[in-house]
Amino acid sequence: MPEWAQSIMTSSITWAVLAGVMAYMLTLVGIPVYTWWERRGAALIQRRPGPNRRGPYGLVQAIADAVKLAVKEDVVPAGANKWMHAIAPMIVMTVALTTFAVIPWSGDIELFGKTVRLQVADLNFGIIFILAISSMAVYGVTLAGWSSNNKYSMLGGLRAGAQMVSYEIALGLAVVGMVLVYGTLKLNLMVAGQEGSLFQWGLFQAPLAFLIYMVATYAETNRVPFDLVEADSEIVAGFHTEYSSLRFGLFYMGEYVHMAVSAVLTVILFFGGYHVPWAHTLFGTTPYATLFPWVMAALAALCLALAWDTSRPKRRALTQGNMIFAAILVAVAGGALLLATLYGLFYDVAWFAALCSMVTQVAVLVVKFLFFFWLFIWVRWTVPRFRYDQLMKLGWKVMLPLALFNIGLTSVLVLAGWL
Amino acid sequence: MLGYGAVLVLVALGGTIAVVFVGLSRYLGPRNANAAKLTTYECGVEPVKTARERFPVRFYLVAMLFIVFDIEAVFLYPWALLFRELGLFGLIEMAVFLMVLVVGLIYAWRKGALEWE
Repeated sequence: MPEWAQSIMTSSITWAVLAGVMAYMLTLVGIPVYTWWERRGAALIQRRPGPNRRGPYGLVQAIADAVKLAVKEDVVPAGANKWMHAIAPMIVMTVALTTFAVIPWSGDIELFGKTVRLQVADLNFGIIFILAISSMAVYGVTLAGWSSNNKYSMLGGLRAGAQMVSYEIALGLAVVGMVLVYGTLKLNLMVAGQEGSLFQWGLFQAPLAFLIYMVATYAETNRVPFDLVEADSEIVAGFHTEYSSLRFGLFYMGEYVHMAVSAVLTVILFFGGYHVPWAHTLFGTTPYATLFPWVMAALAALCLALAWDTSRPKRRALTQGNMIFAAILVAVAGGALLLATLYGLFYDVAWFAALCSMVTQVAVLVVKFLFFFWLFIWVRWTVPRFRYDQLMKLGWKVMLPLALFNIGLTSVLVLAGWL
Repeated sequence: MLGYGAVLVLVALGGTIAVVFVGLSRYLGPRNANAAKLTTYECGVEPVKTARERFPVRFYLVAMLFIVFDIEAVFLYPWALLFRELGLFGLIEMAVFLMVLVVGLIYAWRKGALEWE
């Protein structure tokens, strides 16, 4: 390997850019897939087909929706504060995208004597950074409600402000419990603390904190059962009643990005991040490199199964789009199998094995992330909405005392040496 | 792994995307607004007065309580970080601090600041 290639591979800028690309892949590029997934998930739970016409499995529908939003008229109601009306959705989107800066996508790997990690910025206070930045989203939502000069928007904005700050306390206090357990604010060290046995996971260390965190997360992202800020049966569409076109699109996308951040953070705090339980006991000294060919084989199998299903003429007309989709899937499967073979040939080349282990860790994190994203959808179409007084009662009279109790309990357990 | 510079780049990138999106809809969408279209949507009823009216004082109370408890959470973070070094001393100190705040919470609760009817 030449000198310049080594210096590029060990440069922190390279890995920061890759981590940024990773974050944007899971958010901006992922949003069409998530919206499609949400609609298909709704359909699955309600026993109807859902969008299944345009493209394979109806996937192109999401892109059509985005184009439709873009070519709609951008209406700013009379009497609205024009600047605030434009800035509010920008705040929501910018804030949601910035929180990804400190997410570690993989553990440390050794490349040519240097340690690198797939993370944009390695801040000392990672978890506080995420809480601080994501709580700025409340400005966007409240400003949107206020600036629209619509009574429903105003109510939605007020509700959003009160709801998000109420649950932010519970969220922050639940995270304090996790800081007690791990003794660090850095997300990568938190994940490192969950290496080893399954019972090292935050879920088993502090189950109460997990419960509080999950409920508070759903309230923070304004998802069902806490979507009071846009309750369509009460206040039309809440804070975004007067938003149309891509300004509405920004709110819509911001919600999905926020969900993605929350899902990743849930995995990192409570579900072992990019670690597989008992990895070292089961798969030897370099478990993630050992798992690499299996991950690739699983990916190839998934792609081939989907390709076969798409191109089955009995169920679907063999359209050009389906053929292209199947061809791409087969190509991905081929690439995955090729990589697995390459690993078989070059597993003793240190830098190649290190890169393979990084890919495995990212894959583990993404699989766990997808589960928690699906949980958001699952809950949305299963649980009914709260009433506003119930919401505030839960936030202040149940969650807050419970979070304080959790801190007391965790600190006593830590002091007793049980955690 | 970079520091704050990388965070700033991400903020700039996210902001650019947001601005481009808002700008795009201005250029791609039609622009033929009329007076009826520009009225706010209130389920077909003619809007009366402005929306920026007085609103229930409870929202204000929630904001005040939030500041108290959020600052409490901020104080808890450095304590939680160093808890293993502080040991029993840290536990007792923080128990006293939390007790004061819990008394405040009980006071707010009894006074009805947390009631939503």
